[in-house]
Amino acid sequence: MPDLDDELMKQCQQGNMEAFDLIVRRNRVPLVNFIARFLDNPDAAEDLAQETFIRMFKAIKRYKSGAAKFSTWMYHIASNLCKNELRNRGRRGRFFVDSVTTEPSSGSAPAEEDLIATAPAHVSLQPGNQLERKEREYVVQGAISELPERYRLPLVLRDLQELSYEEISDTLDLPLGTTKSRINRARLMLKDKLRSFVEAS
Amino acid sequence: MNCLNTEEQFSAYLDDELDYQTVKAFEAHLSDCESCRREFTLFRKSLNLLHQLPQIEPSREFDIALQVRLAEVQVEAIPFWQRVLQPLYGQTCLALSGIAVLFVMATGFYFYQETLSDPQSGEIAAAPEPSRRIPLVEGRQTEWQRQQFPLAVPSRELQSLVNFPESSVFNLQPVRRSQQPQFSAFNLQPAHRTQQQQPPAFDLQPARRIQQPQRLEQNYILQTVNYTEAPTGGGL
Repeated sequence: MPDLDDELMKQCQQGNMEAFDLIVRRNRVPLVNFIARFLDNPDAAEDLAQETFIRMFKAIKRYKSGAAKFSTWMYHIASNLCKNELRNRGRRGRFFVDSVTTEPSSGSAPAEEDLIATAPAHVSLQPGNQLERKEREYVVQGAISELPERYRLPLVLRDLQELSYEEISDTLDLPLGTTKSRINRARLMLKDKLRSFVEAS
Repeated sequence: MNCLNTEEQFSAYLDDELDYQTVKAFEAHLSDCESCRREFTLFRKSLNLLHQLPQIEPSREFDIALQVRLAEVQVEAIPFWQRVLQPLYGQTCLALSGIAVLFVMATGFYFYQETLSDPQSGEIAAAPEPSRRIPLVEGRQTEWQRQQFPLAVPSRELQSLVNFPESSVFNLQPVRRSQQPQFSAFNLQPAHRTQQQQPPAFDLQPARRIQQPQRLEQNYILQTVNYTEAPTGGGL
């Protein structure tokens, strides 16, 4: 199946800059979603998504069709930008990693702070579905952002961007087995993070 | 398959990446282990929550801001000297066009002046003092003047009709005398005349010299011939 974005990049290399506008229109939503979910910051996501498109635009001449999938190339650029952003901000992550890894995976009662955090959500679910969706998004996004970077990145690429294991492996320059194990590990972490919310609902 | 191995296969089972034997062993362990069955249910529900996250729509300013940044990148890609000269491109073309027009006009005017001052063109009108260009005395004529104004020699037919007493007079009389109406009376006097007789100092009207009617008649005929015929004298 031919990759339309790859064909559009060929058009760009031949001087048709309108093709790049089409690339932007096709990929801006998944790119902004990927960065926003990974960084948990929609405002920064737009800036970094624009920067990703800028870098792609500058690299049009160097783009090699067929060497890698377009989506792999795009997410590789975006991932590096996100990593740099996290390093520059010195963001959180290590604390929650340790707490997750040391926590028993099953058979343990929810932590007290988890119950306190989710208690208002249960009350707010009553008025309607809108609030319920907002609260659910808030909880799930919080659980994602608490994952360590090396687990969060493949999880978002797999379960939100719906990339294949092979594509994620190429994007992150990881062996396929490592990619699969990291994704499974990230899902297990997420399960533990959402345990109280799921069991309560 | 134990509980730890089962948990490691959660994703592979959901993504349908296990072979038949492994799937059978996985399902058999879940049916026997309450804890793993509960964890797997929790695993699947949390994954469903993840998949139900709403899509984030970029703001309206996203496209505009991106277009601006892309335009800046395109400008930065242009070499520095082109970026400096590009705003002046229209004005430069206009200025160069003006200079070109002025150059053409100046060149044309220069050659026009050269044409007026060039004696080879035969334009006598540009001469400020015609008396200097066409002297009546043959010895002061230049080579160019001899070519342009050769001495007129009447044709044989004309000579047969008019009785010229002296043929030598043609060698002394330049043509186109009528082009010098402003000549003074002294300039109109051929050089040899002064040798033949001494006119009185106060006599400034040579046209009234009635004592030489024949000579005046010859001059009149010569003028007519030169203005109607080619310098070679082909007849009337």
